[in-house]
Amino acid sequence: MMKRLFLLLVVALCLAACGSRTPHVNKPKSEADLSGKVVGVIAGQSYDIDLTARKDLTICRHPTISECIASLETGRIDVFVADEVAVNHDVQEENGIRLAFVTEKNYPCAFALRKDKQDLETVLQFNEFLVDLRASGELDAIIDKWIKAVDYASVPMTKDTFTVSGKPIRVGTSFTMAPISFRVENQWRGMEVEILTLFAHSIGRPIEFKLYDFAALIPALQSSAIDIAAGALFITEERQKALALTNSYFECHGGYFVLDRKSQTKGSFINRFKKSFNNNILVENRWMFLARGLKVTLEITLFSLFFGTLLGAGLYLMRKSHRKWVFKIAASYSLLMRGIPMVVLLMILFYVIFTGINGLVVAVIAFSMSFASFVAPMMETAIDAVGNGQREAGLALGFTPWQTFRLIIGPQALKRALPHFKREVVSLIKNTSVVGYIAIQDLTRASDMIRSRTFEALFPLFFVTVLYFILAWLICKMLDYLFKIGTEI
Amino acid sequence: MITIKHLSKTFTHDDGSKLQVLRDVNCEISKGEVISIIGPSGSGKSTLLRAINMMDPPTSGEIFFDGENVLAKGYRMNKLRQRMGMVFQNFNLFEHLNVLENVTLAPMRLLGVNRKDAEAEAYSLLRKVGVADKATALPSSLSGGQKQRVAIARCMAMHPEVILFDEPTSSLDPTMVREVLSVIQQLANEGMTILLATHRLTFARNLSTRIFFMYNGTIHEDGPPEQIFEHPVHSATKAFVQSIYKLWFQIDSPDFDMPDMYSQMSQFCYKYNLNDKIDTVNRIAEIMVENVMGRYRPLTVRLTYGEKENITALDFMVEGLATTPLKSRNINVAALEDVRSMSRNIIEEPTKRGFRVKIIV
Repeated sequence: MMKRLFLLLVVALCLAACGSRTPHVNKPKSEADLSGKVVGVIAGQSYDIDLTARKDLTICRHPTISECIASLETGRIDVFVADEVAVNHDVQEENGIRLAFVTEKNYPCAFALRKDKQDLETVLQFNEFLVDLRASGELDAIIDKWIKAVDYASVPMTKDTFTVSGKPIRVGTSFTMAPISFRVENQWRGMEVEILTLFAHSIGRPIEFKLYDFAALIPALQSSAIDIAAGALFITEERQKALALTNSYFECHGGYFVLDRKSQTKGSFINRFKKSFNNNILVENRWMFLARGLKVTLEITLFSLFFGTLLGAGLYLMRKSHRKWVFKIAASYSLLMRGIPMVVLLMILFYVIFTGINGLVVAVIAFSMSFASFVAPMMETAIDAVGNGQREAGLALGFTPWQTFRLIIGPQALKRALPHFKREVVSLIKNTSVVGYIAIQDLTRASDMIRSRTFEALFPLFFVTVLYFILAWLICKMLDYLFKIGTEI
Repeated sequence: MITIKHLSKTFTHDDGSKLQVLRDVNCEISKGEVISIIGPSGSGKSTLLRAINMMDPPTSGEIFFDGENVLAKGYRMNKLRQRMGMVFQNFNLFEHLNVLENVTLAPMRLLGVNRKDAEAEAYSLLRKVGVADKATALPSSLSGGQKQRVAIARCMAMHPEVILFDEPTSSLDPTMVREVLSVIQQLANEGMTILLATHRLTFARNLSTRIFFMYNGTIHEDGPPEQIFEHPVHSATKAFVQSIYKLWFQIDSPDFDMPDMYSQMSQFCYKYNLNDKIDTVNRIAEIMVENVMGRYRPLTVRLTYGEKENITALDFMVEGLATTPLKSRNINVAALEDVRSMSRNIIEEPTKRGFRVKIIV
């Protein structure tokens, strides 16, 4: 009881602390002014590393710019730092923030490849290509075009006339941020995309882009899941040691952004909702991200549900085996699976074990494995609860063991297990949201993509929550229906 | 119809220890016979039935059903069981199906009968066993007796050539035993071949054309009821059929749980169908223990029932006593008179180690 009360108190304090924080009045005007401030950064970016060296300020790490903006609005941070080009004037206006100052330091951006012989050649090829591009003035034209653009979606990409063939160059990027690299409907666009596409075509190869979590980008490169890692990667000493980096094609500044109350627009709840809905769902057909993501989430869920149940049934049979070692394998499997976080399992399977296999297949394998470890003990409990008398009665009437299971034990066990099973299925659906780690664009990832364009932290998340809810409800209805026809005689 | 040769069954427990339950059982069962299998607990009655329909396959020996060796490789066990019904002690109705579905499931699935015909026949069987009005009820809402009658109907729906009854009334409330026994009696009258494992000697005697007395894992004596019950050949048979059921209590301290003793006595009476004697037995025990023989401790109380002679008796024994306590000077005469008025007879007799007062109820 005391423990619970204490916990409640801690939670209440945390909430109070979050809610009541008022932003510091003095807005910083230079890097020296940051002393004593709470600074928002995007975890792992070079700004994060540079600021961590300073001991006179507090760092608050966020996954993307959207969360930084949300933190700024709620007063949790005083200022945040991000690539200056990524937060253009429109975005600032829209979100009521403004650029306070930029970093003194320049951050040159490059692409990363593996350090093997063939890749080093590609690096040389790229560097030559870059020299030509710069000499002809094309590079500056491209960069200028993107940085000055107001409506990114309508910026035309340079058309080239090269003929391409062979295996495509696979580019992984952790960055979906206009104008560096972003997607409109199904097309990749942006400064980096344009430069890389021109390069690939100039050496006669097609190109394809894939979205990765930043943490998964370098492992993906090293396990040959991609050929080039991109996404405004800054040139740092560590990266130069581990990877083959191209020459810099662009120099980035960090921008420090603060709240600008004056420009903040307020409206009625319904108007704001309408505006958010329009921005996040309708503009540029952004709902198509969601539709595709929903399809992927649904596919992973249904296939994992099916194969996981089959595998679970197999495990159940192993647990019932009279051979001790068979039982032990099944028991240790369940124990092991319950101990491994889903993300870790996914990463191991994708980057270590099944390196050449499609991510969707790997996700289905991982979720089936995990789901099976829940299904097997559930089956055991439910079937054991039916009792031996029912089995004997079935056999004594002349049913075969399979008929006895199908007609007598199965339906009774199913009825017992169904509520637990549905609960596990719902948690399976929600767990699939971590597949972003292995470059699959599911429903959650779709909302991330929209967020990275609109910088709205919450609306896309609320929207996908509703979609997840509907999905879970529908699948539970489907299970009820399957149960009904499965137990009819 | 069924021939059993040198049948043996040994159970091996998980810890490796072995228990032989059947040893060298031999018998021949013909069509139309009604055979009761009697014998003490653990003598192998149930195991024999479960070996015959291969629920617990025997360890060695042979079983022939209509001349076919059941234990031969490739013999279809499920086909055998379709011709050989079984009724369990615990009914084992299918909990997820209603009464009608319980009866129609097997004929529809195994004999290919269509739903309409199967239901028509199920109704006529349910009517026969008296539970037609419960056709749409779930088994959980039935009484034990009704459940067992449904189980018999379910078994009959497959038109078996023989039915094995495995102690069909043992888990029934005493008030419900009769309804089940009368259904079995009816089947026997219609000429069904029956093998019945039971503890109910009187019923076995009235029902059967033949009795197997099982003792120590084998058929110790096999013969018509008159032989088994009146002129048994073997001494073990004689001891069993004349056996008397007993209930013992040793009252040696003031903390003895009297209410528990009365409740056990009531249950004993229930079990052996002595419902009309419950009150008398309890009343006599109470007066004797608390008033008449209140001074004698330790006091041994024994309730006995001999099924064959139909005698119920209460014994009160005191060790080291040479003369009858009933003639003692400070006896509660009024209480003793009460006991006398309730009992059929009172016998006072010395035993090897003391003295006994036997009250025939």
